[in-house]
Amino acid sequence: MKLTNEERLIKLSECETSKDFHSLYELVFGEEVPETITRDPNESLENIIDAIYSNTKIKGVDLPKDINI
Amino acid sequence: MAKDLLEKLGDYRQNRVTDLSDLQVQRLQKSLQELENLVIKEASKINPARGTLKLRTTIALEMRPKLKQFIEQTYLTAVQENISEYDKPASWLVSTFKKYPIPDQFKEITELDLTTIQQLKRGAYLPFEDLGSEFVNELSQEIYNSTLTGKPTEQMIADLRGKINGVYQSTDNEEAQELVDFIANNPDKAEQVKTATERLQTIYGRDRLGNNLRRYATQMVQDSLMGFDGQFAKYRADELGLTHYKYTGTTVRDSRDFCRTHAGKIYSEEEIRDIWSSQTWKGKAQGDPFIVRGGYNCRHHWQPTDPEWGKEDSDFPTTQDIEQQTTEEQVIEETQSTLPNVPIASLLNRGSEKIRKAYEDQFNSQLTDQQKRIVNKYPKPSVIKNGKKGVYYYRSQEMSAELNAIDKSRYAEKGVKSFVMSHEYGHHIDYVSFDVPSVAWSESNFAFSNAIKMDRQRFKGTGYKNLKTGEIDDYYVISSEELDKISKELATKRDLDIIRNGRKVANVKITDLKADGYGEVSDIVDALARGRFRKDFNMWGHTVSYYSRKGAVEKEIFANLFSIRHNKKAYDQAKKYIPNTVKEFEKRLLELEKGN
Repeated sequence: MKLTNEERLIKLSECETSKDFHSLYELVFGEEVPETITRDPNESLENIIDAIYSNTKIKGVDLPKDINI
Repeated sequence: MAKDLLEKLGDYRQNRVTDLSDLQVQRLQKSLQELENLVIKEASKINPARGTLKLRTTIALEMRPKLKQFIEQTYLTAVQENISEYDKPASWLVSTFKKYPIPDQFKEITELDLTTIQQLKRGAYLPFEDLGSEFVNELSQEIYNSTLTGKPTEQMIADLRGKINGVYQSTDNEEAQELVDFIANNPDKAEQVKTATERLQTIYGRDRLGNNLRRYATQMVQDSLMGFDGQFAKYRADELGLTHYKYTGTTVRDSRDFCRTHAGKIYSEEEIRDIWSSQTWKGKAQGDPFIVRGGYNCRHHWQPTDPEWGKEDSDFPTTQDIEQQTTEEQVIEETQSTLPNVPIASLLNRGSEKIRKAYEDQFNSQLTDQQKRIVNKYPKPSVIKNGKKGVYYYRSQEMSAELNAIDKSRYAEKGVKSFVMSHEYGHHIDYVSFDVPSVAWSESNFAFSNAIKMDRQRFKGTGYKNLKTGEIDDYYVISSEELDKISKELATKRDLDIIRNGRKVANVKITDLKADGYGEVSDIVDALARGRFRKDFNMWGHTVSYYSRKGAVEKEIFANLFSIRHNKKAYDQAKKYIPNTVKEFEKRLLELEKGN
């Protein structure tokens, strides 16, 4: 479902919980928030908000098979 | 039972003294390697086949004071350092007395104790000094004889090496050197060392010289420390008027029959002396039974006691009282390390000496004694990076973890400690301690996986049937209500407006963790929830897709438990959530600590 710029920002302002932000990201970009090996969930949440606000996907990290984080 | 308590106290002494002994042996062996290097460097300047006999013998005679100096600056310095640490076994013994129903003045080190310790230390140094003098003579004689007979320099050097370190001498052959290094670095692995020694002897034809300095001195280090411990325990028992002793310590495969027979039994001093004078056994050493115990390299102790203790009709505290106290203190002891640092500074790929030291100190501060013993037992990572991302690669065995890592939001003034170093090292141990390459123990151990499953089901939630096997509750999902409750136990939330281009675009609930190590506890809960704790409650953890990787749940829980083992508060919190898993984890640590 493609949202207009205005719709996206309205939905962003309506988000309350972490789950809401993640769900909106999935709605806007059609995929799960990618892995960035960011440990701080607050930083991750802010990245999600920026991604939705600017309509730019988060650049994820391709995890090698032998990595543990 | 009081007997159990005594065994615990005896085990406590055995573990600590054994660790100290291993450390002292390592120190001594390192000093002998340095001695060998110094002696060889100096001896290489001599060519016994060149020059007049008078000149050669003069040069040889001039070596003697140099050899004496080398021995003093290496071997005897290490010996002095070792003996200076004899205060430790004395304080460990006295700390076991704190559990005894005895007057308080006997529960601390006294002035008289200190005098006695000094005297015993002086007595302990003399045999080492004598051995050092003997080997100055041996080495001088070897050089002198070589110059007399015109022995080739290489042969003289090989013989000098043999006299210092025997089969463990340095070698130019790469494979032989690996075996030499293995022997030098693993004094606790008796079986493997024996195999390596045999291989060195058979394949490389290196003789194990019976009279080398290393062999004698190594045995003396162990026996001297144990002898001091035995002497001090006897002196302390006499002071207290205790006349009975329990023979404590664990038995292993190669324990002597004598130790097996008497371990765990209580005897009077008279009975002990009778046994010693009337029995013989393999490995029995000459000397006082309280000092030599089972014989050379015996690691058992005589723990002073009174057979009346623990009888419920006596005036002494009940065993239950004492045990209660012991358990409480043991928990504290277990979480505070007394062992020296595990050396990892050299593994850092870059960094100043100061940074390396700080890194090593911080890593060690995140380990208990038990974990240090485990870490020392297994190969270390190939390289460690002081990087912002906490990661471990099992193929290359590289790890990255940040020095001074803090779990905090950038909007908070201060955060809580994150134990990312020991977390990543936990992954490493999980892999390298398991026999199958590229597989972690945690992901392949049924009991551990099953414990996680059981712990997950302790929370309210919904079980889903396995579509393939039809097993009920195969896929269990913890309810959001439960996760919300846990998130409130671990963290607080506060509102924050996110402003972009001067406009409020969103309001978020920032998470602030309540205590050190709670980020790791949050990771554990997130693993149970397969990423939902982070995603739905803005807690520390990983993405849902990360947990879809095979074994990720088990491996993350193992690494997180490893990282918080030293922090009582965080560990207790984790235990509250996953008691069955913690039990399996502790079993594994014990296996790793005690196993080969």
